Amino acid sequence: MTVKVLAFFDSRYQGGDDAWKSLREAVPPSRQHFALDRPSTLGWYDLSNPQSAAQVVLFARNAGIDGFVLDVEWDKTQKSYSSGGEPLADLTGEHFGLAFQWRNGPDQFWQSPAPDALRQERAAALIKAINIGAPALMGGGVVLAVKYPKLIWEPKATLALLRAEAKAAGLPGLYLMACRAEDQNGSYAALGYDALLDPGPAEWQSCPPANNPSGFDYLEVMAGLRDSVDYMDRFYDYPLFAVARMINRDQRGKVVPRVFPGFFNWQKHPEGGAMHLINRRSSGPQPVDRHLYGLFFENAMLWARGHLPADERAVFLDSWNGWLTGSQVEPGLLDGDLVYNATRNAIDRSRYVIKSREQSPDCSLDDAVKERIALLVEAAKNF
Amino acid sequence: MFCGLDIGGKGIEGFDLSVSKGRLVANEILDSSTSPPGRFLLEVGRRVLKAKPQSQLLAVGNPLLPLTCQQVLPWLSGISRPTILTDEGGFPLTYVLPREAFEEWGRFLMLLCCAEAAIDARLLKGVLGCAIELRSIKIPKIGKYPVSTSTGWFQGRDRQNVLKVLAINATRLVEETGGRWKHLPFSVYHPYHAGSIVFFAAAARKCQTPLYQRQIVCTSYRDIWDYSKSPLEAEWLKLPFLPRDNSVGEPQFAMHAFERLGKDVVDNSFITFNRYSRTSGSASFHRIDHDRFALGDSLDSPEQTSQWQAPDVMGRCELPANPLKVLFHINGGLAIKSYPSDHAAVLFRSLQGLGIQASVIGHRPDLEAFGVTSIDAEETEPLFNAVQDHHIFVGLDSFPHHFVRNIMGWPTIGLFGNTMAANFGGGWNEQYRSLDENLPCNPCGGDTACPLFGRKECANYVAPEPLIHAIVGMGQRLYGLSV
Repeated sequence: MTVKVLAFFDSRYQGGDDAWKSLREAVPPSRQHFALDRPSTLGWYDLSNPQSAAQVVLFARNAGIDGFVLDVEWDKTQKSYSSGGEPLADLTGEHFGLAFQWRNGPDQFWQSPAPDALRQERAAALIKAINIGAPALMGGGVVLAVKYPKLIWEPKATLALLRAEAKAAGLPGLYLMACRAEDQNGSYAALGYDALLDPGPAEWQSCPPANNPSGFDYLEVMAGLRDSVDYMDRFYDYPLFAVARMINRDQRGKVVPRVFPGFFNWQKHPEGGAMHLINRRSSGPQPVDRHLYGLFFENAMLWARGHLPADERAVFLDSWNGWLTGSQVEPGLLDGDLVYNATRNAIDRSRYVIKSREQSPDCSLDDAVKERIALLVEAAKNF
Repeated sequence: MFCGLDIGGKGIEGFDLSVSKGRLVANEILDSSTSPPGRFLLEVGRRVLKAKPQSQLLAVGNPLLPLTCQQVLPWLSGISRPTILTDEGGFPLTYVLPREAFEEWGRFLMLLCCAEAAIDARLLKGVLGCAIELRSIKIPKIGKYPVSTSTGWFQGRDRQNVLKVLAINATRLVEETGGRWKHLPFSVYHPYHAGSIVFFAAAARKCQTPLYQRQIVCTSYRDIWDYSKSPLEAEWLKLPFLPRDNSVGEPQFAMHAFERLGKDVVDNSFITFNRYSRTSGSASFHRIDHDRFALGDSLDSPEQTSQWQAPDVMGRCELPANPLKVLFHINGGLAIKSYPSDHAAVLFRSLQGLGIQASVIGHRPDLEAFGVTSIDAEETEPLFNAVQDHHIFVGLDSFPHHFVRNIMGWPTIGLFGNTMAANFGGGWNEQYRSLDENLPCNPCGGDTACPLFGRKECANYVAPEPLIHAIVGMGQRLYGLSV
């Protein structure tokens, strides 16, 4: 049983040229901001064109990716949930499936009490939106990651309701994930989540920023003597950021890793306050270190192989086409296919190693022995 | 990035190949750090002939250069005889050679320096018995070859000078020995270090299509060589092995070595440089497979690689299961290469609580309070004897680990910090596990301290608890241990 790779996918690139408008029009407001890359090999595709969608999926599969993760959110005008994944549905199957991330932040319905009938209706709508194409199963269920689990009113009842509606809709089950970094005391598991998923770089800064502006910096910015980015934005060293996400991670509970080649979100913060992952080089900061990204990816897959139950082994790649945050692995004009190839190579390397461990017999211990060892280790630490 | 073309038929057909990261599909070649560039030239030719068995004339891009068929194709216009295409400075771009160069005379391709066309042309002329034309192509001069390249080569001028010297010496043998050169043995130049001797010996034992008969080895490793049962004949080098502090370069050492080996050796064998030519960690293949490829095996499917196969040596302790006796090698000389001392203290206290008897190679009085016995087993024979007196060996990425696993076949758990478990530990089986923390900084190459955190110890070493799980799990499965 190998480790699945599921890549976050922005399905909004469909329905004409306007879909790419944000990317076309994005201009870095500071010299310290990395330029956004633009599509090359796959072009400015329109997913509603079946041929374009097929090319995208083919490219992803060729890299070793097993499925896309689509954002599903409430559409106020249509009064329904949508993932935009319909153009991909026919391209899914045994070897490529769809998973979902529920962007429940703007979905205020679930943040306060509501009559049972309305809750059931809304839950059914959510399940309907994720019941498209073949699913990328984890733990035998359709993957639904809840982006802001803290915002859900009565989470335990809500998750139970979602599971019931999934069953009623004929889904094989739900694999519910909370986008949180740790579940040390098992509180999310108690609520009904199957696992946690490392939050995205914008939601979880795993190490302190490299810049720590002072009051003097602030005054310089206000006096127009300095780039306001120095004060407003936060810059993080990618190597430290990535390592901090993997260190001691088995102490954080059952948390599925998320990897990313780079990230900067100035396009979403026109007034400042963006975050940037940087790789320091003698030639200046770079958005992507392909070597380190490859190691991050490879080691995350090996970790998942060693620490997650057999049918729940996965790594989430953030992202396939997150052009607006510089996290895309799709081939682009600035980087060509270097990041794409780094992704493919990392998956190849880790799957080779994973396969080399498959013939190894099960040497796992029974729970009583594990507990005894845990107690002895704890005592030894406190000696 | 490699390319080969069949140009002898009615049309030209090209094959672009790449170094494999693990798939080892038809257009991928195993990435071997201990192979000289000529070995890849031979392999590309083999692949072309496999796809086009009738081919009589092949063009193969210089493996040192980032070349594709599309780049090479326009240069081949009007070529119908053995030729080396060069830049204006004489750096070889593409070799156009008859099929017998890749078959009957294939091993001589490994002697090509791939860095100066005139040297290679003269060697090929002697071996193939036909004229080799040099044709200059109008592209900018290759210039000074980088020390490391985007395609994974680890070369530089001095290394290439060694390749040139060996190619010139091979040419001399071909030209001056009458027909005797056809029967001279081929020698691997890979004389150190201890772990590498173990790997090359294991590779030689597994090699199905050997191109070599001898290996040049420092005399310091005579005991390891005796244990390792390499089918190659040792050519003893009476020099202390290369110091690990980079005070002497590989190429400089090599030149001293050829001098020290003496006229008799240099005049009676073909030597290839098999110290590192490529970065070793770009793929997940074990070093034994790097060496097998260097020795001649194509290894063109993952099933052929050692990590996917059952181990060829298995041994086991005959003592009763209780108490379980575990031998540790956790001191790598420097803190960055050693199992962290805090971890060690917790580990041995816990093992004591489980009734497991631990011994440690080296002098560790600080651990005696936890019932740990220090054992003097730095040399091969004491190590061999000490291992036999223990059920399981737990060791760092170092000689004792490689010796115990690959020569003794003893139940082993490998601990990896700043080096890659896949390259030096490899596949798991009933008697082997490698453990690390899967940190993204691995491998860092840090020599004295952690380049990221500045600590003296490596954070990638596995914590005590999963290590104890592995020890107890292996003890239960192999020996019926009860705790």
